Amino acid sequence: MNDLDLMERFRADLPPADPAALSRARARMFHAPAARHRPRWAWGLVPVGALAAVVAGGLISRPAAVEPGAPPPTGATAVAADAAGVLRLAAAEARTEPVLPAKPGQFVYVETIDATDTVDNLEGNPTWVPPEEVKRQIWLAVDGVKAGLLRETVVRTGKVSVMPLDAHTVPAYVTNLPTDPAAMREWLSQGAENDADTVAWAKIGDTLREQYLPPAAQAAIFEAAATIPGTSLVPQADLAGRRGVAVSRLSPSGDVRFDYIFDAETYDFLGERVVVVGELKPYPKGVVSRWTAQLKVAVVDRAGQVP
Amino acid sequence: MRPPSVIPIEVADDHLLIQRSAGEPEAFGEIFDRHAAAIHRYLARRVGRTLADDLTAETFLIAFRGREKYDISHVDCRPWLYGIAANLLRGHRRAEIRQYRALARTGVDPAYASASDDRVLARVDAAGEVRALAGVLARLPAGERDVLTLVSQAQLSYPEVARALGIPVGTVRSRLHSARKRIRQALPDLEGPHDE
Repeated sequence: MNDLDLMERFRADLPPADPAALSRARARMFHAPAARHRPRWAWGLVPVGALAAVVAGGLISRPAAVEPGAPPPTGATAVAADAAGVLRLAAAEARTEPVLPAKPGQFVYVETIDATDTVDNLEGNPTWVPPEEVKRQIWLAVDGVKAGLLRETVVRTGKVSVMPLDAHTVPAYVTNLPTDPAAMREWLSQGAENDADTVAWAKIGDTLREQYLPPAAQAAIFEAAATIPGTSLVPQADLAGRRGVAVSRLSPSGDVRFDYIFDAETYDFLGERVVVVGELKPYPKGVVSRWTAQLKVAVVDRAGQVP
Repeated sequence: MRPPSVIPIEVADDHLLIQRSAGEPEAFGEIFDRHAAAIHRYLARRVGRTLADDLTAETFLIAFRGREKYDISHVDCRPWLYGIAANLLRGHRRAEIRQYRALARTGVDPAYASASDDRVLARVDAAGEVRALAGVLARLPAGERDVLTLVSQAQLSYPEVARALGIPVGTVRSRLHSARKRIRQALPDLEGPHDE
């Protein structure tokens, strides 16, 4: 062995990238604000790129909120008997929604409450800092041509920041998705080299987040999701004050749970959250790492205009 | 998350995809799908898996924003992407060196930790020669480390490394020569170089 062989073998057995991390990186590429430096850990370290709903009730930011319905129920007794059942009801609900009309030049407006945690002091003694709630109002061009806008308001302090987003990106009014569940299922796991189910589960959130999907595509996503193995139901998962049920799937390592949350009665899609369920330093077990509640989706004429 | 790949894309070379992505941003998704895993791997081997997640995202964000400036006389875009990645690594030199030093000192490699799917913050006990190598890497001038890792780990040719780093091929050669000499000094039991 010579010196170059030794270099070639050095760290050659590192495990490959986490598919969820790559899927977040891909999403961010198309969708990042034009000139803003994200805190290093906001997307990098945080296990999971989802957003989620807070535990019981309202817009409280209780530090280290421990989740009430945490362990995936074994013999769940919600309205729908299992996760697949909830997803099929959500698909049926989505199909009853009218298509939101839009013209080129208009903007898709999405309003969410988004809360992301951080990890401080990573090199020394990493400590977990609970999610901070931020109201996000985003305007993205229906056809992707004109520049978008993002307005963020820190809920606790009321601090507002407004930033321009890239022009010439991709349409925010998405018309090119499959509407057939089987085709959608294939699309969700496209490009996955291994663990296609994990990739597909992450891509559901990436696809539903901050863009407009016509009801048929949304329904196809939920029906496709119902065919992904390894899901479970969390009967009580309230998000931003709305009563919800969550369909959940664990990360391959089993310590992080990704929830998609639906209204407990209407099965409207409410949002996402990420819960640390295992031993994962430096997260306290049971905490919500991220959550996002989707509050409003509309089409408006100009960036900055509130419907 | 934009569903780029619904638009059917025939197999096309990198430069054609990048050219097309000027008017059809979705086409750039294919560039990501082709190369992100390799770029992540290269970054992870230098600064660890956790930081590599973020820097991979950063690399492709910069590439995507700069896609209209890509020189389409180059069919293969890997050197361009590795060049962006190497440039970003300069901002994380201290983290990189700290990890080499920790490995050299303790035999435990912090680069293996990933907060997204591992419980253990660091593991893998390294052999003596690996620890010695890490010690050399910690001391290498940054330019030599770039060349050495791009040749031996990213498997780029000398002209590709030159293109990635924006330096003459002669400089690639001399930096590589110097880096290899330092490794052999620290590890005298290794064979001599086969090439050069």
